[in-house]
Amino acid sequence: MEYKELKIVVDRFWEGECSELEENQLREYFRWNDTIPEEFHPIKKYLSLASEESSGLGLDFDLKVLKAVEDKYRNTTKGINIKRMIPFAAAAAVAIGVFFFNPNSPVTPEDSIVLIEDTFEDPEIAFLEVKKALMMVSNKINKGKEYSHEIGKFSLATDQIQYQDKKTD
Amino acid sequence: MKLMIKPIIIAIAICFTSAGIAQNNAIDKYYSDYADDERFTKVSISSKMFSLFTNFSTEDANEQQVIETIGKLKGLKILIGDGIIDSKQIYKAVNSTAAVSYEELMTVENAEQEMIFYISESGGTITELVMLMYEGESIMILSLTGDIDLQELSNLSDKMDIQGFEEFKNLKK
Repeated sequence: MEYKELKIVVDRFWEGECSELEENQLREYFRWNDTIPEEFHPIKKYLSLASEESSGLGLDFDLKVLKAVEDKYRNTTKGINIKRMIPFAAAAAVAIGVFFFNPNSPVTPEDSIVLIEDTFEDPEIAFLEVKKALMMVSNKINKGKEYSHEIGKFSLATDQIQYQDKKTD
Repeated sequence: MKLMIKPIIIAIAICFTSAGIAQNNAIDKYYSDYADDERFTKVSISSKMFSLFTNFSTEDANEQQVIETIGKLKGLKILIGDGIIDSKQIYKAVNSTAAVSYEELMTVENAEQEMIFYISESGGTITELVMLMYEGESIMILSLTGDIDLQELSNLSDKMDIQGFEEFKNLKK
């Protein structure tokens, strides 16, 4: 590109009358020509900066945007986030371990096995045994109640005697 | 670090809750302690078995009342020891454990035997009845769980005609 022709296109560029084709020609020209008249340095710098911007925002920018989106998703999502659940799972595992495998714990895994075992497999036999047990418990409760009734009668009799004693005094 | 605070609080809460559950099951410890001891008869009826009882029905009104009472229960565990020289010591040990976890209901003591009832209540309902009994070289620990109505239980002896404690001595071990 001759100086004259270059000067015209550059002037048109600053006037905003330059076509896209001409702009690309200028960009290519300044890209490959290091020795240019000093008056064209500003437009060369401008076009090179514009080229960098139009080439994209860079990897850092993309990563920042993606991270921001992910953080927002984490805060708003109601689903289970496995990463967030890991500390909770670890805490639950420790608690269960302390509960079952602590030698001082009143309940051991063996106890749990005892609890779920049934002595009888036949429901009818089991039912009869429950009946027997309830009958026995019922008898013992009634026996206890009888004792308390007798104590009540004794207490009433004592009160009456004391009342009679006071009257005779 | 902030993320770890919640799980730690939860873990501590689980441990305390577990301790509470463990106390309520204090009697269960003796089941495992004497599981292999042939001097002891073990009876355990699970809630699953109790749920099967609700299918039973009869035309006898008294028997139906018994079925209904049993239908409200969820578990039964009995441990009976016979010919136990140190029965009194075992009785005292179980008694001291139970006294921590349960509320005492009634105690009967005479020259031949000692008997004590404990209950566990939840929301005004008796959820567990524990009965401890010691007589000579015999000892019995009984735990009944479910929705327990003491008045209904007391009335059962009028509706059933089965002898009690002696029957259990003849159970298969």
